[in-house]
Amino acid sequence: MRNRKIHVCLSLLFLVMVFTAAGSSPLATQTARIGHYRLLLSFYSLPRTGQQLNMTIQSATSGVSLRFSQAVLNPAAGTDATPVGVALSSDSDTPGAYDVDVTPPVRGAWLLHLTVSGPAGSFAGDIPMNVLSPPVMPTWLGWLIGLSPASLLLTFILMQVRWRNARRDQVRQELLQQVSKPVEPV
Amino acid sequence: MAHGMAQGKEKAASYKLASMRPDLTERRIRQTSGWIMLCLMLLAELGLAWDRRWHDIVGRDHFWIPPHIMMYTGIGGAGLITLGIVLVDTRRYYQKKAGVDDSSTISVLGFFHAPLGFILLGCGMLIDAIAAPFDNYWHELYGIDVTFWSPFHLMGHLGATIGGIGIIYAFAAQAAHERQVEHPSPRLLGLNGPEWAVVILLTAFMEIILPALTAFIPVVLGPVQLLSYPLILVITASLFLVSAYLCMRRRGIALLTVLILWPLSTATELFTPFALSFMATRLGLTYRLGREPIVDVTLALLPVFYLVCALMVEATVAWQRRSGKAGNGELRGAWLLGIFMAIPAVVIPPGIVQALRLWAPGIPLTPDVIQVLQPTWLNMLITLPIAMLVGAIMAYLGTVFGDIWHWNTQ
Repeated sequence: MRNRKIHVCLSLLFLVMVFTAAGSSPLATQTARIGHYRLLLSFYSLPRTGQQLNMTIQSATSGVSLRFSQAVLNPAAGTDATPVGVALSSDSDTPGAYDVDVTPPVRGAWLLHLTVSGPAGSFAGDIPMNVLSPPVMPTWLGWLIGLSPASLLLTFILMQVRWRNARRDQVRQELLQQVSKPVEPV
Repeated sequence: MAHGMAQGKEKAASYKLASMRPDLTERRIRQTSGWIMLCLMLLAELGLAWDRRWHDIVGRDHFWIPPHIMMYTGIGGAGLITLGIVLVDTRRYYQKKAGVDDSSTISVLGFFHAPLGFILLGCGMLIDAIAAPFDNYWHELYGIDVTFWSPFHLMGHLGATIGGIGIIYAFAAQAAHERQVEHPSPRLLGLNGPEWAVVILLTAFMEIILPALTAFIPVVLGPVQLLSYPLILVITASLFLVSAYLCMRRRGIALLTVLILWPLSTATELFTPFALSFMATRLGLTYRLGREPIVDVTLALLPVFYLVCALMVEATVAWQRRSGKAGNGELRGAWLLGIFMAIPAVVIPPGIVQALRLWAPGIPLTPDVIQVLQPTWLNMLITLPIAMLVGAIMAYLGTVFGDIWHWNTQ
């Protein structure tokens, strides 16, 4: 019984370590250059449409401290979207790193435009980024689902046409009977 | 004088008796919920007009944009009320309450009992609720300029159509019931409350397509173009003006519909640029392609088309009544009206654009109006027979729906 409790505690500890480890190390990293500065982008979640991007940006050169500002996520050529505002804030865990807060709305190629300030001056530039999407539904399936209420509407209209024609005949019959009824003498 | 006073007293007594009818509770439940839903549907309609401009001028940056919130508040609210009515009426049906029986409800899935209109409205709102996340997904895949002609926008429009027809059924059944009872409710200008609601709803149906008219772009067929804007105009005019008359069977209804439509349309056209610039400033958004929101005068003048069509309906009704061709308030040969309505549908919108260019060149025209509403004579001639065919079919359907809305009490 005691051994079982120890096993459960160890398993829980293992799970806590696994989940914590997953939160502290990035899923992917990317280096980029803006002006004279080499930058390191750490993705804690991959860029996906409709999901808040969990990523940090910092200098890739040790000992060089950089400031980031005026960030905007611009759609690259071929991506049908409007620019999205990006919020930058200092990362509480890593000194010199900035949290990038943005939710890309459309899949495809984007450019993270930002200004980097450091010892060599200020430079503005773009960092390319590919935003992933959920699995793509085939177009024919989209149209099939999208137009499915049309069948409901058409069936309803057909039923209503039949009901109305039957009712109209009945009304006309009743009218004819009323007209042909002999007038009773007063 | 004495006769008038006697009539007034008689009316007052009748209205007093109307307030003592055994089915009064049921009628109040249906009419109160119906009017709330009508307001919610109008809210959703205004949201839709705003959304269309938002897509064009700001861009659909995410799902929770203000026009979407406005639109889905209307849709969601109407859906929830419908659900409540279906549950309440099912309970009242099994309790055998006055006014809730097989003559005033239909059975769904062998258990639920509710008026047909509310069931249809519920189905429509459910379709819209299903279409919303799919539409968001489609935008995530294919971008923000996926406008009217995408599968899930059409699904949403079909849902709204079913829901709109549903609420007309709900009020028309109330109106038919009011016409049949011994002591009817008070009337205003000859129409009872539910009849006024039907007129407003038919107006809203005709108005809803005006802000979206320029989404009906021409279909290129080799060297010529098939214009699609006359088709949607003739569909709404022939279907709803004919059905409006046949539902109420009163002269002047078609004109009354247009008289309500015009201020509604103008209010929509004034509201959208104001709301757009107000929210864009508040949210710090920029306009795409440097386009500022403006009042679209062309769209605000489009009710001229409906006015011409309403005059056609009124003239035909007057002529048929005078010559005794149509008994019992019927409208003979309505399909012919649909054919004739196709002519103004093709000609009037470009006519308005030309008139504005000639006589009021200072009024700015939006690029979509210039692109869609300035067709060539050849394209107009090619489109005309198709618009006539569509008009004839829709006018026939207008007689079907008009008759049903006149008779049906379920």
